[in-house]
Amino acid sequence: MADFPYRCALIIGVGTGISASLARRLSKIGLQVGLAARDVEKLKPLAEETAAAVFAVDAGASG
Amino acid sequence: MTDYFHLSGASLAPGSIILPGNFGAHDPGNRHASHRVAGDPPDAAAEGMGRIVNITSLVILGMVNRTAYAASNAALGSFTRTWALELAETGITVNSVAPGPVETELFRRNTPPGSEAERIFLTNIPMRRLVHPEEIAASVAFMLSEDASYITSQTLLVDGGGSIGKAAI
Repeated sequence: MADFPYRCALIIGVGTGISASLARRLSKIGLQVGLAARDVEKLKPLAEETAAAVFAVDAGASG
Repeated sequence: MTDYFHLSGASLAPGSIILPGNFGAHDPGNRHASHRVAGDPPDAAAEGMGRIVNITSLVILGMVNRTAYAASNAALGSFTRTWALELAETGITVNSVAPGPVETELFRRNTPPGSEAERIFLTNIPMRRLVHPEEIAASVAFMLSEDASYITSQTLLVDGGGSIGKAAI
């Protein structure tokens, strides 16, 4: 495994595919993972699995 | 007056990183242009190390019926190059990973196994299979690693050969 000189990683636009796989991988490495998406309710199972923090972000919101 | 934007001024306020200026504010395809960030840019710069990896798509090379999706992903690829320049002296690298068709719930919703849509996708992929999300995550993990410390502004096509003959090297 390559070295990761970080403590945390933020994944923006989290769904069930690539981003979920990445969250699991980075969590196993030992990084504190943050998950951001429009609907944080949908993130809860993944957040519990990876001990991640969740953030509500809507890239389409104006202002 | 032109609204200049430099990534070092970015915060995690909604829209401030993904949509500098007004790009794609009314483009529904832009919602698909997600990106991955390791470290808040200003904080990471202070520590002299960080990574940003944007997820784009093989369709940036062109695909029928994908005007908005291809354009929003191509814009993200362009952000990658600009941000790589803006952050080049900070120790933060900025790269893109551009997958071919990924075996995800979202993809399968529109492209069931054995469907004509799947056949058309695979016609364009020399390996004749979809890519698993774990294979894309592995590519991102490499870009995030210390080993990738001198790679910046690049787009890594993880596409089963789908870009062969289509992308300049």
